[in-house]
Amino acid sequence: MMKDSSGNLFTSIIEALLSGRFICQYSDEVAFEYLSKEAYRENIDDYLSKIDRALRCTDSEDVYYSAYLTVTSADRRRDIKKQFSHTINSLEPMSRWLKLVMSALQRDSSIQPGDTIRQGELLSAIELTQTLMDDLSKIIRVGVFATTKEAPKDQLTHFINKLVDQGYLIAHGPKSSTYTATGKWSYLYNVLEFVHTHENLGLGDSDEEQEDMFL
Amino acid sequence: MSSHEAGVKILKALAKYSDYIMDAYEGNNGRLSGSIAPKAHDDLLRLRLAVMDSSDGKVRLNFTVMGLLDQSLRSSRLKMVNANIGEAIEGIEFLAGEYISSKQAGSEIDAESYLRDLDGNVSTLCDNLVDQAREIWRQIDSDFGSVSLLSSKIALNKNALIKVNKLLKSLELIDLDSISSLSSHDKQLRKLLQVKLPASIEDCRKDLGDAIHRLNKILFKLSKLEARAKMVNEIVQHCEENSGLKTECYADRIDVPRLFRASLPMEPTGHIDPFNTTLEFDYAEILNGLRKEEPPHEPQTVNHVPTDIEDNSEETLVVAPFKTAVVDVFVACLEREEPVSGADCFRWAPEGMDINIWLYALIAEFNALNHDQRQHFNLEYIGEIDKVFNGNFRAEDVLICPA
Repeated sequence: MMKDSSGNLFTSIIEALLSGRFICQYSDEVAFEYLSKEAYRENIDDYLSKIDRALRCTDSEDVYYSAYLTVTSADRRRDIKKQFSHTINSLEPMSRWLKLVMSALQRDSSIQPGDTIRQGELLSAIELTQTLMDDLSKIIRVGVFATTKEAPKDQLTHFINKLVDQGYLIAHGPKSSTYTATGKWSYLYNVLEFVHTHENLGLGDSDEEQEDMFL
Repeated sequence: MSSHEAGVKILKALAKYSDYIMDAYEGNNGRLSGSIAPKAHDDLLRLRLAVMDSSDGKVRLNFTVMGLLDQSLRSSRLKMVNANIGEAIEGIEFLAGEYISSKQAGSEIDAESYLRDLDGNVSTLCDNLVDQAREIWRQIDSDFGSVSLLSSKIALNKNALIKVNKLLKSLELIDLDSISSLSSHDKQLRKLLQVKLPASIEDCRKDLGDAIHRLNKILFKLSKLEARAKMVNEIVQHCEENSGLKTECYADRIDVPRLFRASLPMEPTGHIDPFNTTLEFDYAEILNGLRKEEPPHEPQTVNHVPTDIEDNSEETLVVAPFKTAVVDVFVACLEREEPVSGADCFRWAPEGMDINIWLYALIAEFNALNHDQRQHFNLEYIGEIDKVFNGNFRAEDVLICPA
């Protein structure tokens, strides 16, 4: 996207942020590099602050997005609640999806920004196991990713298309079934970590595990 | 008491309390154990082999005693930590000593031979250090080889960290001052022991320092990935056990967490303000854009209309039978002075005509009459209101009535 004909990267980035896009090195390398420089970042932040917004990034600093600075009006709170509702409602299907991908590809790490997802590889693995097919059906049965599609291939295509629409994946080409995970996953992990901590969803770390973290 | 006697007394005390001293040195970072015999405790303090720490009131070994032990045990500790490096250093010290002795004895051939061996040993040690650092970096750069499982990567990372730490510790134990002192009076030795060896050790230490930094960074990242995977599994498990994920509405809080303040996409809107002069340029651009699309080129041809009247003869206008039939219905109405049914007169219509067209034609003819003509007629419809769609009137016939 980004660079318009006049080469005004600043304008393009502002427009992208205001249209709700998350900017990472995979979704827009040039814009991400621009935002990696503190002086440019401050320029963008200054501009956004004039319309009561701010430039934010995740803990791992691999994705930038626009956020409201204050919650002063009822309209603003309504917008925040709308966004919150969408985010929270997608947490369960997204967590199930992350687990499904780990199980299908026999990996012990969940999807990370920069990972390559091959739809064909995923579909072959899912179709091999009834449990995985059931898990996929469960993900798209209700909620924000709901569809009435029956075949695993259609269900998977539907879900991946949704992820592309929401900016979690980028296709390698117009008709490609290979995708790159974007930095938006980092934002999702931040939200998951927040909810996991504040809602006490953890089963607790053993002492040994805690020690290992400080090696 | 002479100083000789005092010194002997101190050395005897060191020998007498050697176990306590070594326990404190090895196991307690120099601090004397609480279970030490009171006499030993008092003697060590009196002879200043131990001192009272003012910060915590505990008794610890004097720095000089600690330094003496550090110095004396350096070689054996080095061998324990890294046998290869320990033996190599021992070999270098031995060859340097033999070289100096041969040189002092005037045996140039032996001295040269020892120097050659010493050069070989120093080179081998330097190469060994470089190889070990390189091997660690090879593992780091290859992301721990072909291993794909996170747990295996973490295990390999930890193993590499242990190796690097061990190697760094062994480098710390090399007593460069002592080695340098061997070579202070000989140029050849200085080249080897004061330049080549320390430079290699320093390079290796720097490489390993960088490696340890990188390994810790990778380990942190891997541990984070492991924690994320664990968290995902726990959340899914929670969803299974509690039929879904229900959370507090954090957007309702007075101070909404920053994480949940991501802004909604701003809808693109356009408000035209024709009086805003700053938009003049934009308007002009839009107009220019509109004008850019030129109309397709069409060849202009002129068809001349003939103006010469060749034939002025009369022409008879032929009225179509359909029109005649329609007019006949109105004439019949005037003649009979009674309503005439359109449906009844349908037989007058030309063959093949649809009755609906016929009736519509009668209505159209009535509407087309000029005001003077129309005042002689009225139009009435015969039919009924639709049973279902009662807003509609279904006409089945049209009556042309005299006014």
